Amino acid sequence: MREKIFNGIGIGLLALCFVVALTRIVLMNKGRTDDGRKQITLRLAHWQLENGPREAFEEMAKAYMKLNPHIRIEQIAIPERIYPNWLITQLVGETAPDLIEIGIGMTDELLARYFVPITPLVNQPNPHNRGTPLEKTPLRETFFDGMEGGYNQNLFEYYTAPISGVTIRMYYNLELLEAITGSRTLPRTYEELVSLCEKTRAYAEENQAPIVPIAGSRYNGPMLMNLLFSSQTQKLSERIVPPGLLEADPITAAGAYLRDQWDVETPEVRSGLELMRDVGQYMQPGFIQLMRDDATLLFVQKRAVMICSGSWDATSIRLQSGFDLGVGRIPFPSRDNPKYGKYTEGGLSEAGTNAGLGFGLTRNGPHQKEALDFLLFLASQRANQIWTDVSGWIPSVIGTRAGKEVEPFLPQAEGYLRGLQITIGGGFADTTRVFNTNFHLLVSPLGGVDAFTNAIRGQYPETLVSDLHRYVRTQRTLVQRGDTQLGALSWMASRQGENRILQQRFDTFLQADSFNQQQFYRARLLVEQEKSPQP
Amino acid sequence: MSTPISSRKALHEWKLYLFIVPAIILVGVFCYFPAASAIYHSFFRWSGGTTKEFIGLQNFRDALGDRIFWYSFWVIAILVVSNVIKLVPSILMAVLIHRLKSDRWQYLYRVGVVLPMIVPGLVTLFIWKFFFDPTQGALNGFLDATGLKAMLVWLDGMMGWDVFHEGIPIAWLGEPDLIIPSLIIWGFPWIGAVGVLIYLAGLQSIGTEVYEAAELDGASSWQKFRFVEFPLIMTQVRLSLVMLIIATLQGFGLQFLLLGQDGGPGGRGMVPGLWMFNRAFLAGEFGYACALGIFLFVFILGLTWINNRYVRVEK
Repeated sequence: MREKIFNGIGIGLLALCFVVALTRIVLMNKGRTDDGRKQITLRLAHWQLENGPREAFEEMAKAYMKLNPHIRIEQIAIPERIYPNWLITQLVGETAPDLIEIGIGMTDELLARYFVPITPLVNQPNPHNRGTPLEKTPLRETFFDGMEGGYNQNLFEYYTAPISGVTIRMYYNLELLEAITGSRTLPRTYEELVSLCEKTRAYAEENQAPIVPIAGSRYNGPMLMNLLFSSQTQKLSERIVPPGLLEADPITAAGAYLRDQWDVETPEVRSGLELMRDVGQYMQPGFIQLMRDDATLLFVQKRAVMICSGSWDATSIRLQSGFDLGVGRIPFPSRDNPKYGKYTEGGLSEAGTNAGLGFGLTRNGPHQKEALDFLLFLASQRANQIWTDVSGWIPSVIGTRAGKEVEPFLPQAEGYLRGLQITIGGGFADTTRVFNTNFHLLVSPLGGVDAFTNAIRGQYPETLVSDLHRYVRTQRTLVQRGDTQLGALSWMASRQGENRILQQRFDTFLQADSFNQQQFYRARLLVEQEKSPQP
Repeated sequence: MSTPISSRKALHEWKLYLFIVPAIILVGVFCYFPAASAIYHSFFRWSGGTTKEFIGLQNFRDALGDRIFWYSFWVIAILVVSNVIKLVPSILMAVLIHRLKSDRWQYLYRVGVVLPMIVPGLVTLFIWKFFFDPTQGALNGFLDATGLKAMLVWLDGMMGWDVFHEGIPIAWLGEPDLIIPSLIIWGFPWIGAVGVLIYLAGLQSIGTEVYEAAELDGASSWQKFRFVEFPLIMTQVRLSLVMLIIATLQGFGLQFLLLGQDGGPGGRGMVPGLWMFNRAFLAGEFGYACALGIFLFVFILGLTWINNRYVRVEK
């Protein structure tokens, strides 16, 4: 009897949960507003799980929903690690949300196929800036980077209106800093950074405290090290970059490697690797096996004096740390540094920082008009003010006031161009994999620069070529697709000779296609030269 | 066993077969269609979108020369062997629970074994990741506190491993030579709830008269296990073995979470599933990943056939 009662209670609870869930879903879908309009739900997907963004999106959504009571905004936050898989599944399955954050996992093909470009709107004022000084300003000019962060240079279209800037900083535990050095002055040069690290070690030993100078992980460590590395390859980059370009793009860097203009033994590269190793020794042993959260935990638990991370982690770190937080630029070696000054011009400039965190409008979304309007709202000064106030992230719209806590993260123009990256960058997946799988040789206590360079020297040419092959195939697809559109535009333009907008579009597209073809032929030439090397 | 019905009768009652059509459709759509799609796309250069280029057997030729892919089978072979050995604690646990005289204690132990199942596997993985932390992890803390670290350092000196050093925390997931041992250690004490329940069910189906006969013959506890219990649960063991081999061969979640998408330092933890993931989502070579999947499928099929043919159950 008792058993029957318990079984009945169990089944009853299950049935109740089911009914409640079903009722919620049904009521959500059949909502109507007070004026009888059918409620529209817009879905917004992103990967920003840090403290700050979700709350900011919620507030921005609330502000928009007040203006549009018949619209409901629903946030979908996807973990970064699985975002690429989720993205492709959603797009190919045609179940994608109305607005999706563009970035991780996005390729030009996916953009062109599944997203609607917003290029026609960039030269018009944003209607949501009415009543502000930007009321008559074209959308493109309302962003601090001229909306370059939303522009795809392979497709020659704007796909997003980015709402935030990002920079990389060093975070300091000011209380620990004061205990170790007697002052809260942040290190401004590499020499001061090294001095602080050495003092931290001495302090830890003297007090038997498990404190490390820099909290590292496979996420934070390379972030700092790659920046330091590129400060050593500035002069090398100046030598290999063709006239007219300021920085080496991946094809230029790869081509220069394959033409023996640089390799892992080039003095600048070696100096960069030694700098990476030196800094790595100030991180906790075995940091390369740790994840981002492990390093953050170490820092907020007061077991590290510093951590390098982006402005996107500022709110999370601030909320979790129970101590005074200092924020400073990365201290680069100066030209006077006896060991690392020879190949450097100086610290890196952030003048080229583009705004990021933009949402793309999916083609298959059921409410495109409303979604586009919300996208423009997100790009407005009013929404951007909410964004920066709530999230603590850098604003992207001109005229938005950055709070006191955001000021240290604002991009600083002073400095020099960055040099080459050892991983080449730009989606060279196999080359990056070789670097990642041998990185332990560079930074482990018993490793060294020689062990690392010996390991990657033989593999790099092969992986560069395989990455170039992949790049050639992608570019060929882009060019082929572009040729079709170019043909159509040309035909239309020839029949509507007086349509200047169409002619302008054709000219722009021709430029885009020429650029893509140029990239295609450059990469293909490199690949062919590797197959049949010239004597 | 039911007697087979004649085809005439089956055709006469054809309407009854409509009841299984929904199940067949669902299995077809969600199980067979993805597999067929993978086979189809393995003949294309496909980056996941709508554009694809037919390249015939090129993906398979590339896979045959892919060093990393074939290395990953070595890793998986070691993991399969170690996972087979890791079946033993579950079997022993089931036997110990079965031999308890008190029904109440049997029940309590069963609940105790099953309760950890409510913890999501992901949480367990993250806890183990923390165990492996070089500076804060419980494993290194235990080794230091018990003096076992010093013993490992001494052993390292004798054997020339060059992984355990005085004064340097052991980087279980950061040292290439320690990655496979870490993947083997993971999950200690290797008592899986599902396995224990399956074996327990098998043991409980053994009649008491068999035990009585063994006791009359003067069999010891070990002899009872070896000659009575183990042979009579071989069906369950074989089932576990097949499931284990398939899961180990296909799985990559453990390696992905512990080591990242590149298989850790030196790529030592790379397994076929993780390499497929890497090729698909990092390199954008979905067609190639499908071809790798076909190789894996054939391999699993071959192993299953061997298992069915040679791991016999004496009835």
